[in-house]
Amino acid sequence: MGGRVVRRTGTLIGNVTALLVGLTLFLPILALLATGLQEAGQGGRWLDGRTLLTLRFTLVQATLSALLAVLPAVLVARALVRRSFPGRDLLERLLALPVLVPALVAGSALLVLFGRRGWVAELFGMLGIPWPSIYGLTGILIGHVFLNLPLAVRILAPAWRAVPAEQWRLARQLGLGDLARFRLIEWPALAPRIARALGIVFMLCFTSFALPMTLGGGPAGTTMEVAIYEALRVDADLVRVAVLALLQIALCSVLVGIGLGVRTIRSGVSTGAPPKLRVEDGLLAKALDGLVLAAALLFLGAPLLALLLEAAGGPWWKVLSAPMFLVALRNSVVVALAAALISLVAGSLLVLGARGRAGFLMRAGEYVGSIPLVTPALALGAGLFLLLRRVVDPAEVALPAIALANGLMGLPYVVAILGPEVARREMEHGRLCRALGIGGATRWRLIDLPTLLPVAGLAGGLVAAFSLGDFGVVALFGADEARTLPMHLHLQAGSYRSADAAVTAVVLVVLAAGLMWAVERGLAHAVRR
Amino acid sequence: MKRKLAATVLGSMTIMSGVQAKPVLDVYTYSSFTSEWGPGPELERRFEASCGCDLVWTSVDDGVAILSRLKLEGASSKADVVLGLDSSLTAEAKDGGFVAPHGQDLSGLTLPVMYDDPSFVPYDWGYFAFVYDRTRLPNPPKSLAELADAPPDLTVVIQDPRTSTPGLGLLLWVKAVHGEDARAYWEKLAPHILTVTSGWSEAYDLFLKGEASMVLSYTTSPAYHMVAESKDDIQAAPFTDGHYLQVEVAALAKNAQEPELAKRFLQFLLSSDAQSILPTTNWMYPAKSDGVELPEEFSRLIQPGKALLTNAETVRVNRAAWVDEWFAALGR
Repeated sequence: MGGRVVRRTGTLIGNVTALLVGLTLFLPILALLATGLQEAGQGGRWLDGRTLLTLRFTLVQATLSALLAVLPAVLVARALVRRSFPGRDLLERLLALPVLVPALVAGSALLVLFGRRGWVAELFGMLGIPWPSIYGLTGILIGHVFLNLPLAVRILAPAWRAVPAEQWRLARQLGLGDLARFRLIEWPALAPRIARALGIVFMLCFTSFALPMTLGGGPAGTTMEVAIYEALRVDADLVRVAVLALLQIALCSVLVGIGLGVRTIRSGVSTGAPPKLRVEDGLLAKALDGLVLAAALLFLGAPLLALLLEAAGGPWWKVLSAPMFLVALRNSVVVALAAALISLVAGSLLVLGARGRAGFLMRAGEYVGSIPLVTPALALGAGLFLLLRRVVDPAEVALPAIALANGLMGLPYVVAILGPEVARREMEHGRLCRALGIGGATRWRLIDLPTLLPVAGLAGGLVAAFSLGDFGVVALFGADEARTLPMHLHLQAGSYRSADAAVTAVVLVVLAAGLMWAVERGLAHAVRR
Repeated sequence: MKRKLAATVLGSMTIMSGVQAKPVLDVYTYSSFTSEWGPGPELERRFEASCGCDLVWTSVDDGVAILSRLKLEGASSKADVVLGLDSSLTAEAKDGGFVAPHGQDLSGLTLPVMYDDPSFVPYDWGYFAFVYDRTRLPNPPKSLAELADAPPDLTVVIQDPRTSTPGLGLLLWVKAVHGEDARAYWEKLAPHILTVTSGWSEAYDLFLKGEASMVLSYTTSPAYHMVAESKDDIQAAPFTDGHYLQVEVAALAKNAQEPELAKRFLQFLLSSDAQSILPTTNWMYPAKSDGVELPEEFSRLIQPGKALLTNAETVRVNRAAWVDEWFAALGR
């Protein structure tokens, strides 16, 4: 009986969290809609031909980007997880770095490699083969795979660690081949994570803005965000902004919702995953894994090297000692940690609240957790501005607003990483807990916390690294005092200071990597205690 | 707000001691204007030295965002001065009722065109131009038509007219030169367009990386490289068609709380004290160059024979249709 009450409390907290997240996202958009409707003479051009073409292209590129980023990520994650060799951990960290490259500089880093005068073009030139232009869909896909493949690896990798040790042992005893092992043991654990990774990458690419324009070769390569930008900034048609934002949210939710239908398949009771995965394979399988990792390192590492080389001779001291740089650095770190906290708390509550429920209710939390990614920052920012200015000067709360927006945008990662873990534990211990009447604080301490913490580090680190200050949401706030590093970089690039900007870009990536590592380490420390 | 609050608190204390508090002048502008590399900090220092006031900047993303903010705020905006609107957006600002007549004497302006709008005070200007590196492109095209007829390996990076004011400038430039044939012109130029970026900085970065032969920028861009980097490889190509103008303007906000102070600021903006800051911070020409000493490098910039500027009201009425035309020509 007591267990049921506690479970209801958990569900209630989950629902309240979902409601709060939903309100934070939808109230601003509804405020835009209401303000727009109050003004007569607006509307009309909601979905014209140009917008429909843009929508079609956005869907196509996001679908292709998701497939091209996630499918190779399965191979990379598998190779990383199954092999142990000196420097493996370092390689894993290195391969995660592109996620942290701000889209602002990712395009130009990739062009150092693949551009008309890039390294590959030079190599081809020496061999006498013409290097085709990558501007267009190809360029967009290369850019999106570069940014998102590492993210997919991060989401997929825990799947192998979740496979019970008994199953690996059994597979060894039965002498299962590589393919049979993949199908029978790895796939059931992997499938729900692949679905989530596809969903997240799809959403990220759907809403990507500056990168597709830089690499897209022309207006045919623009995404829905451009249409929303035009509606807000140029046409000042608030109704259209709200309609396009809601359309984008609805469309992505339906598509991603289909993916969320893939649930953890019953994996049976286990004494836990092996501390170290040991797989006995032939030379061929090892060589293939080696090849996969080498290719990944080349593709993901070379643009990073390009970034580093560009900044190598830069005015490091001048950039690092500038007073505004230090302000931006401090603000970015504060925002990142706050965002990670918001994300982890809200994400855990959503995931725990959804536990043990069935059907739509079970997925409601995950749905809500996904919406922030596809909520256009411009529309959210404009709506927030409308609401906030009734009570406070928005410039005063720009930094908290950036942290909140980034924290919400981190929710999908937290849900994607924690969700499968909690679902697995529920299958293993759920009935036992209920039978023994373990619930509430006791269950939280004995089961939930030890389940969540190890993966929470992974999730929190990722969110912190992502949240160094995406500032789209405060574009209208008058946020001079709330400068973050990405904003600083943006201003440098806009004032002819490209050498300074190159230095800042490297600092950004290093800082993001450092934060990711620190948060992971910090939470891992908490687990041991 | 913090400063405003402080001023109010300070005010209530000083009133008791018989001294009046400093009034606050709220100026809305865009963020690169007030950054440490922009003219904002020095302008503020010089104006505050004489106004007995506190100048408070509110800087949003870009010039277009200023309009969005005014629109969202409506009648309750705290802005006294609006600074940084592009000349092609002024009709929207006037139409929205965000600005009031400035009452300034605009005689003596040194713009290449006649400009005497009772609502807007131009403070700096520049010509759009295609910029190239003469070590890589020894013979740049001499007109828009030559650009479209250039050999296939000549590439340009331009900006999107929906997200960038230079992008909109090029759209208006082509329209001003080719009129009804603009669509055909864009179709002819299409193979030379490497890509269309969201903003100026992305495009300029691609050009500096050597990805494209030319980039849409300003005739003043080479001045930056000469002054700050002592390099004169980067040049602007003079076009015989004439060059489209960008005029940046400021205005008195409709609901200004400090209208007199705001007018004093607009007057100050045209003084040589203020104008002399702009060339090497905003990299634009001063709107009133009397008594302003331009750096020597500015004399080495190209001087277009003809300035083009479409009437702001015409832009407002036709912009959507012209962007549609542009998109139809390039968007496939």
